[in-house]
Amino acid sequence: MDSLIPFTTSGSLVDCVDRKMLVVLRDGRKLQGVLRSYDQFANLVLEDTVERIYYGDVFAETWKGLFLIRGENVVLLGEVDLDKEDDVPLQQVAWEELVPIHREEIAAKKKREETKAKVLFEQKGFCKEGGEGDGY
Amino acid sequence: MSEGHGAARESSLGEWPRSTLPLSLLNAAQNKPMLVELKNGETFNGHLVNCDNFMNITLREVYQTNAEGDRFWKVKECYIRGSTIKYLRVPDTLLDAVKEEQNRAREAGRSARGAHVSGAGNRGRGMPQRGRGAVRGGPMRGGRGRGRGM
Amino acid sequence: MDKPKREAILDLAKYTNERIRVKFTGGREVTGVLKGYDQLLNLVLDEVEENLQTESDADPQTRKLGLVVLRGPTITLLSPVDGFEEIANPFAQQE
Repeated sequence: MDSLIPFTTSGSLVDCVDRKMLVVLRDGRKLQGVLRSYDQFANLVLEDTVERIYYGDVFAETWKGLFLIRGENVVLLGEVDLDKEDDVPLQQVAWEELVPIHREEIAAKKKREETKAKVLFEQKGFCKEGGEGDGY
Repeated sequence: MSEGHGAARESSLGEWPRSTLPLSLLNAAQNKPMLVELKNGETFNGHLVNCDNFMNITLREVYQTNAEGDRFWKVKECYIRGSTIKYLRVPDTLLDAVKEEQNRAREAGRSARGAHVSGAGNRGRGMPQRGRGAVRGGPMRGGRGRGRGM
Repeated sequence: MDKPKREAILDLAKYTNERIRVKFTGGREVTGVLKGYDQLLNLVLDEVEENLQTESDADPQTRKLGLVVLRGPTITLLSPVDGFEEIANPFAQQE
């Protein structure tokens, strides 16, 4: 929309300021909050932030407040459509209820990835991943 | 017409002066409690002593937690390299505090500079357009484009 | 308005001849007595001990490294050993 600002720079975030945004971090965390400011590194200030976790067709969220996110840890930043966000057919459950399940899922995934990396390295001639192993 | 562009853009960011930049917010968090999570998952709960434009920080009275979240340490003070940080959580009230502080500073600056400002106003108006794409200048307040109030 | 942070935000002078803990990118961790430093955070530590396999294992193992120069750019964390202790979950009541 603003042709003078290249969409490949953090300048393209102008239109996202004061909007409710979804932020996905490299570690897989999903945050939703209002983008209040940013800089040339796409460091973000996120207000009234909640963290969400998902499992199957349920989700849970917990209040986190004001964030300053270092830009390099952001994988995805997207505007939440306020008109449609309530149409998402997911059921909300209590945070405490979902956390243990979510943790288990992460642990299982980590184990799967480790096994996969091991096979790829030992049998398929692939190199070892850097260690972060998050695919980003 | 380029002037039209400028106006549209100005309104979209106008109420958020650049001095609320992430690093300005961090600056304003000095002596405030905060939670810092590093990329490796370790977290540090403490009061911010100092920070710089690399996001390097020093904390005091710190509780350190390992990435698994099952071991804890008390640390009197510590220095953390900015490049290792994932995010910082700061008090919710900080944003309002910074805004108020900025308004005060702006008012003070305007009355101090007087008529001089209105002359520079047009120039100041042009600058942020470029600056917004690649925001430079860091958290220095009272800089470009501050002349146009809100 | 705010001072441009040109000067170091960490005054290492106060740690001179004191034992400090340093973590590096990659996860290594050492403690040693601070003998010297520069603006780039390069450090000279004496009586250095590397803490092996921290975090994961409860029993601490160390190896002695003696007098060491630490490269500033690889340092991620620095804190005095004095006042550093493992404690029980301080957030237990809140969560």
